[in-house]
Amino acid sequence: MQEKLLNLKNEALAQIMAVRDNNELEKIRVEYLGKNSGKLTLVIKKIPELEPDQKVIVGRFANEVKKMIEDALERQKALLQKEREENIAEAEWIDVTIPGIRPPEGHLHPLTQTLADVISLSRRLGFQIAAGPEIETDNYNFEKVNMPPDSPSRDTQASFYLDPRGSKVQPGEILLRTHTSNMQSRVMEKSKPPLRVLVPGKCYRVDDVDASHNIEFYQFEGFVVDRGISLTDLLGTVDYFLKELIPGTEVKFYATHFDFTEPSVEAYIRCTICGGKGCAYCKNQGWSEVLGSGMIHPHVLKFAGMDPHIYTGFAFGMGLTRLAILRYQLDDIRLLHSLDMRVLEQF
Amino acid sequence: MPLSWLKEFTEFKIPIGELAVKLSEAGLTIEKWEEKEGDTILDPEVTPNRPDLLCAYGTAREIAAVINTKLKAHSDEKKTFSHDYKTRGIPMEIKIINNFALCPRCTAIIVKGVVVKPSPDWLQKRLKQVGLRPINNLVDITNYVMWELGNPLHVFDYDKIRGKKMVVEEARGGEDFRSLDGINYKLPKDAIIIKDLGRVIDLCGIKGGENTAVSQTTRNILLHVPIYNGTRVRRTSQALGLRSDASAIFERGADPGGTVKALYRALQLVLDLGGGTVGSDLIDIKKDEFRPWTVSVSHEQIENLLCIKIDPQGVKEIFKRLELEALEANGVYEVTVPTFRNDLHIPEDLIEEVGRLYGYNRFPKTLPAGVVPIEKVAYSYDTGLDFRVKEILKGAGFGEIYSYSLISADQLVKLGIDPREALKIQNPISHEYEYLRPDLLGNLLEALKTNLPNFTDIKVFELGRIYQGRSLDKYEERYQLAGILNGERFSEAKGIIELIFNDLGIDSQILPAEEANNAWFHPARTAKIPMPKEKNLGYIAELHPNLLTKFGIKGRAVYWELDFDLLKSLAGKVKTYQPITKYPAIIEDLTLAIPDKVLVGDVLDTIKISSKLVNTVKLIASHEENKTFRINYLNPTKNLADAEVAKIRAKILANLKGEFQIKPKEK
Repeated sequence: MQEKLLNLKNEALAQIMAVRDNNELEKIRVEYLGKNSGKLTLVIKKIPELEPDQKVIVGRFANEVKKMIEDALERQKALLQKEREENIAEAEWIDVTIPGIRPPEGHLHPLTQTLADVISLSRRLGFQIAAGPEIETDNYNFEKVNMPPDSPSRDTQASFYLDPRGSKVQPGEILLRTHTSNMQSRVMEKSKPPLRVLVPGKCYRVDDVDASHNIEFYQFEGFVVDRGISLTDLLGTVDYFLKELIPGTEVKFYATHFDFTEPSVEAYIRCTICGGKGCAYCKNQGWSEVLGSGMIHPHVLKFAGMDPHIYTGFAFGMGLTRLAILRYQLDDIRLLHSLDMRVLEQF
Repeated sequence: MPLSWLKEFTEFKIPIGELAVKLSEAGLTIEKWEEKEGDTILDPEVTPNRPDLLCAYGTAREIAAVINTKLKAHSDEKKTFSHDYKTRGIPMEIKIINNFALCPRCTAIIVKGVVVKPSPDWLQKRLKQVGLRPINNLVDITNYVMWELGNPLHVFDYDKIRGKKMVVEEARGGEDFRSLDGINYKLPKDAIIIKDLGRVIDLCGIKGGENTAVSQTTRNILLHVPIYNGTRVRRTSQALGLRSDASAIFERGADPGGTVKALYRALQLVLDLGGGTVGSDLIDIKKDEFRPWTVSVSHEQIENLLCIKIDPQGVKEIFKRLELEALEANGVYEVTVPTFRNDLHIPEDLIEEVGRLYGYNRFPKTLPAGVVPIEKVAYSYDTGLDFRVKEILKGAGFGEIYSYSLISADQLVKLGIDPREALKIQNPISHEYEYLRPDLLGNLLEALKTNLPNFTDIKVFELGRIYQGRSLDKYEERYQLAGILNGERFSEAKGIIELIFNDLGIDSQILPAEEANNAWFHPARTAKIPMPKEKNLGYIAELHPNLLTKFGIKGRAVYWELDFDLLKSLAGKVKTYQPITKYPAIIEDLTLAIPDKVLVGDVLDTIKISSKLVNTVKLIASHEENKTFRINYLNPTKNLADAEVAKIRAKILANLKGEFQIKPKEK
């Protein structure tokens, strides 16, 4: 029996040393040491049948053999572990340059992305967002912002009028708003100062469509009404807005004229195309006009039911379309209405 | 505007670039100029409120004010007029019947015995510099004086005026008129005209008539400096699509106080360059005296609105540079405004003058100091939800478009909508942009069509306004959120809607909708999202093959649309935490043979409501009529025993059998 044990030991140790992975080791363990039918276990189970003097000797030897096999298993396991650790780079190399598996990839429109920035910026200054009608009356679009029917300024805001067919509406009474300023009176009539309001939205003007003009475009209009609002508040707010939206730019103010503001101020930024050296885009000025603003005209306040002796305010309007064009360096305004994903997936 | 002309009235040496920047900052934008024959020609952009800047002397006045140089007085008619302008002998007759509503002032004089010939070189050069073609000395003089002083003038051949009568009146509309440059017009209604004996001799403020124009044989002339109603001139000019230098000035408002000066200036030039003698007294028919007016503004008002510290001397200095005479008493300036500055009537107008000459780029910058408004403003709009939904769609692989609100009748017809029942633009620029879109579907179909040649997986959405209504008496502008996918991908579209609803915390059912718009939607592949009160939140539908064919789209497409205003009103429920139960759930799969036309949605509902202990139930596999449902049983308060689950299962099977004759699949 001792010889049998010795053969088992030699056989087991030889097998163990040859094994290269843990599963095989486990199989060998079961083969020899398995609870019910391990080769060694079966031999050990027969020991009680031996003569008493043999029992002790064989029993001790069997235990030694068992221990030796167990140790060999452990050693081999440790060895394999060590080898694996040493070889992991070689064995488990993958090509990390293979392109990733992406989740579905969508795209938000450049105008949405630009508007998101405008809105988060205006919220920081305490502005609330308001939205109003695009189909508007001549009254709110023009008259209430101090642009009476005979104002020559109307020439620059040629309007699309809605066909009054089948209604009681007079021709020329209802139009598509030409600017977001229609919301100044609407909001002021219904809300009391202090007001800090930002109105983004679509506007429409009759125009010859080309690379820099379109009949539909987006604006945002900010206005503030309170006691003691001054021109320096306007300059400071506009300066902050532009420098946040167009990082690194410089801002300059020019006097101008708008019917709905007095005084009226235009903001210019350093040309983003030439950096101020002068180019065709900025008409060699190095500066380009980006925003119109001013102190809300006392007539506009009065038309909306505010007392201009108590309240003053400022308003500024900027083309969201224009801003998106500057940011993304679009060479044609019509790209913003493109339906082609080859254009839109770039953003 | 030639620089040399401006320098006749004010001397300055600063480089042109610097001058342009200074004028632009003060409101007279100069972005372009060109060097031409030793002179610099400026191209100023004059704002509509400043007609006084449409002439050389006014521009020089502005330059002098902005860069603070001295403005030379223009030849004053009383002192420098070198001719005898009193008529000799019997004044020549002219009868002017005026209408003050149309013509608030009319200044005129007759000159007899003039000789028509070419103008001298210096005059011709000036006209060419401002882009005019020299004609003859008399016509050239009127143009020259207009460009110099800003009041438009006209010269009539006196002998051609029939009956020596001039009647200012409104056109009735449709009259024929031939202008001095030989073009025929049909006059629009309400145009201001002058008639002699039955003939229209002047289309006032725009162009003179050929019948009374100066020619080589002209001997006697009537010099005419009128002021016309600007609105009338503007309307007529728009109606005819005809603008002139004169109409541009009248539209914005010619200086009613400047007619006599312009007339004398022209008269002097006529006598100098055309000879002749004065043939009548000065005719000056005017509605009122057109005297300067006063506007008061306090120093406090100026400092409050501008928020700068400026000493009263500085304010007075600025007013003086602008030829505004200011008397100060107790901190209030009483400012006399000359007639050529009709843009200055209220204190704020004067404050702007102080501000722009002080220089806005010298101002400090502040932010509004008051309380940040808390109360929700009227027309308040929550953009947060817009961006949230858009981000979800982006994450689901959708690309966003911004399409035109204006669409063609052709698109409406393809959508099966009668153009007579859509809102229409009266003055469209083309048929392509003539109607307001009543739905986003049409443009999304166009987007699909655009992208089919280049992409295999197309998912596009838009959040935009739609405009619904048959007439302007009753219409609605609403926000719609809609998307399109190529292919037969109903379940994918539905999954996206479920994702949005889950994120926004909206409970909804998505049910079959056989009754939906069959011109658009597939009759058997359309679902609606009904809401209480009969209104649908939206639709998910495979588009009808006929509709796709009309839009020239090959293959199939799935479309979904949501009433975004309604969606927003339902969203915003804050999710609340449910404690994680410590008792284990028991999960088992149940495979059922579902008979034809029995809806899986109903089966799911039936299983779910069979017991409170059914925690969730999902469809996990589907093979022909066999569907496998995974049921998760859970009692949040104790361990579930197998016997309890068996009881629930029995009830589920009984319910399914009772309602739908469904049996478990034989194993």
